[in-house]
Amino acid sequence: MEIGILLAIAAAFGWGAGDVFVRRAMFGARPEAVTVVVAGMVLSILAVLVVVTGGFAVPEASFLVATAVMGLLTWLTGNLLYFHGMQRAGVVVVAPILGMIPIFSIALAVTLGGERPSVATLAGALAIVTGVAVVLTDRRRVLR
Amino acid sequence: MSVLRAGSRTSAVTQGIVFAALAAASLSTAGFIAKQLVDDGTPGVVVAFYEVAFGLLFLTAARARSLRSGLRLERGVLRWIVIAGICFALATASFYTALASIDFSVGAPIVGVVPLVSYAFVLIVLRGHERLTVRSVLGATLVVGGVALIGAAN
Repeated sequence: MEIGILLAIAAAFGWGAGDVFVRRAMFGARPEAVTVVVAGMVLSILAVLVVVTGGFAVPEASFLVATAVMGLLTWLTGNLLYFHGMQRAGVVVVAPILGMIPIFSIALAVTLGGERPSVATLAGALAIVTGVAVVLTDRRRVLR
Repeated sequence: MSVLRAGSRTSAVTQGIVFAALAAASLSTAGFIAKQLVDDGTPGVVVAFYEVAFGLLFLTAARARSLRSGLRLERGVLRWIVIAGICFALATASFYTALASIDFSVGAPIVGVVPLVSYAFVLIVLRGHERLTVRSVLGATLVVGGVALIGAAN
């Protein structure tokens, strides 16, 4: 199997398991504290990886602005909100909601990129929405 | 009294669902920007590094007061956070490294199985805290199938 595919599988395991460990940690910690410590650890490992794979170049201002916006979206309104959501509703409910990311991506590609989604893409989006609806309308989902 | 408690729990769950949906929209927009930067030739790990660096800066600035009181963590809690941090760090590094050798359209559906991986770990780590029903597994499977279909279509 190609190394890229093995790495993507490892990433899926890391994110899937990480969500559950975060939930477990939030039994005794605030989402803010968990998010900051997790972000710090991710930053440290990425710094090592950047140095090993080629090092830092001096970035342009436009690159810094773009990554600053990404940082805001990923960590403040992304992961922090997600961890707050996880604390309130549980992993079982919120994990499938993140599966809706491709739907937002399709919406962005259509509205900003002028792309036209294929029938298969729309069928996939329908399956995701149905799946999330199935999880959210589960009356037995309430936490013990 | 129990009606009130049940009501507040339902409200908390609804809030959690709204937060997660907003998070999905945010993460998706960030991914859209990341794709433009990587397509311009910047290595994925470099993009990820600056993204996390700015994210950490914003988090610390925006939630400084909350962090001052919340960063005193018990050893047991810290253990779970460290394990989670290692998982997220390895996942991020693995995924961005993977993108150097496979297309995003191949990697994204693979990462789409995250809800099912989480469910497997819920059975081990959150036994007695969260309930996994047949409907939740069916729903998560549909989500994973949908993500795979979109990945295959692209």
